Amino acid sequence: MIQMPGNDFDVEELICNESFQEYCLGASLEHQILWKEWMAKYPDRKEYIAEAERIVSILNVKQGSRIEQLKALRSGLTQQEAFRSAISLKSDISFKSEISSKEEALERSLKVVRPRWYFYLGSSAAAILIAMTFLYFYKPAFFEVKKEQALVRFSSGKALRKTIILKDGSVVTLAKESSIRLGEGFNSSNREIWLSGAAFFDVKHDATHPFVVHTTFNDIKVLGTTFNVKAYADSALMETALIQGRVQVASKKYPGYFVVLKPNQKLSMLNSPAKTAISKPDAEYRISELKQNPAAPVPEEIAWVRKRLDIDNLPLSVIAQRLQEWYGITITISGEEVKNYRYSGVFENETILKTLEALQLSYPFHFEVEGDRIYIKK
Amino acid sequence: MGLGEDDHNYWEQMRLGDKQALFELYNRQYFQLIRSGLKINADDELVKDCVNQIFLNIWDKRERLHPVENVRAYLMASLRHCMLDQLSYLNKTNAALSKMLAEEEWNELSYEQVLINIQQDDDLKEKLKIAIRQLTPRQMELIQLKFFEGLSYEQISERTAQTVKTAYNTIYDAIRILRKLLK
Repeated sequence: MIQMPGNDFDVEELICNESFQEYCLGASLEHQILWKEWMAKYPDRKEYIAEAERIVSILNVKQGSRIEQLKALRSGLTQQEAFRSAISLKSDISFKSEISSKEEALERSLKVVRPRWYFYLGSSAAAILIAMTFLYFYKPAFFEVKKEQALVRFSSGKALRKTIILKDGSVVTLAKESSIRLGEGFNSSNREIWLSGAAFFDVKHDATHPFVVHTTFNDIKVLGTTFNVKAYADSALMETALIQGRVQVASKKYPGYFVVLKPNQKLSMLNSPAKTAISKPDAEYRISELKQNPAAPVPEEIAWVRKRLDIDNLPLSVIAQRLQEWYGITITISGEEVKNYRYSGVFENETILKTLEALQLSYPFHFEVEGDRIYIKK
Repeated sequence: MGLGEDDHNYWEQMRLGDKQALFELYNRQYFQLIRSGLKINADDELVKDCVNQIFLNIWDKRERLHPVENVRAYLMASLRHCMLDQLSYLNKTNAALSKMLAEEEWNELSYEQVLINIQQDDDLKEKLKIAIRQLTPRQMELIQLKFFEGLSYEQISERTAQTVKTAYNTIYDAIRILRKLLK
């Protein structure tokens, strides 16, 4: 357990605090969450905290924040990929005039020799500028989320699964008889939702804007991660299983009590009816490791939402039908040409967005997302 | 499973196209790379750019990469090359310097040198020089282990054969002196 200083902390004590040093280095999400919250509690001592941060940064000789640097790396990779797909889009247009199915193979081999990413080998600042220019002209519509999202509540009803893609790019799959309500004005900087039932979350990473899931008993706060929550109001057991990243589960019943989960851990909470004098959070909350069964690579907690998808030279229209049935999301394709694009591949345990992105790589198309609908076009 | 073996596995996963494995490698190696980069040249922006650059390059050519015995050594070597390229690009006239650095036996900067060189502000550089002289060699050593190498108090106490409490107090006293002098 990490000991946080009280209001009477002195600057030296803060500098010597190991967890604070970790926070300054951006070494883990856990420390990031803890200290940001702690700082919010002492606005009048802002200058002292800034002084402590400055001295730590001098002494660690500006090693920087790993979280921030990782963010920069991720956006570098995104630009690299956008640039690549801009190039492949161009070459596709020139190849596509008359392609018979036999020539598809030839086209694929041609794609292999298309211009490579030379610029990144030089100065990185220049490369990013070039990538940005291309982005501006050939911006692929990966995530053109519609601006208006009239519905703020989604329910699965009797359906086995229902998938919703939120404005910030996070993907939620609801289990049977579950629902989510979006916080007012939900967007990429205001990420709060209320869950009743069970759902699987694949949250878009954003260290500066935490994603909060409220349930009857707990508030679950995440930065970017995949996890599963079971919180049916009438069930005695509430579960949070974490697959990737970090989440913090804060108890509503015991204000101030929280648990930080690591990947492949599960938090179970027995929902005892009332708060009695002897009830203690430690007795109700239990952390366990997810069972790793070599025969089944997917932990049982998320097996309901993950699946192997084998595609062998199928047209997009058939693939879309399968995706629609499995994920419980409506997919509309406009344009006969796109419907007949053929793909082969095996997808194991991917979210719908990742599956579509992977398909895009071998034969580009555009897709737009609007809540529980996906529109595919050329 | 040893740490090197984990790196090896992540490397193989990354070669197969697993981006998460690339991020795992990044998280595991970030501070080691930054620290050794800073000892070559105390320019934190250059070092950080190069660290991200080598990961971008690795991802870009992942399909053409080979299995690597020692991932850390490979990354360190890549970082050194990247920094040398950048340095010679930034300062073409100073070819002698990069030639010297390219040979294996360049002189690593000491922590004290990095501490001063990394700062742009001359006033702060002076203050740091004075501060370093005020601290005992023992205090300096522990400050380096704590803030540069990132060791825990427990690890420091093992390494320097003293109690955790003594290690903490030594650093605390040093910080008190530094804070006054760096105001």
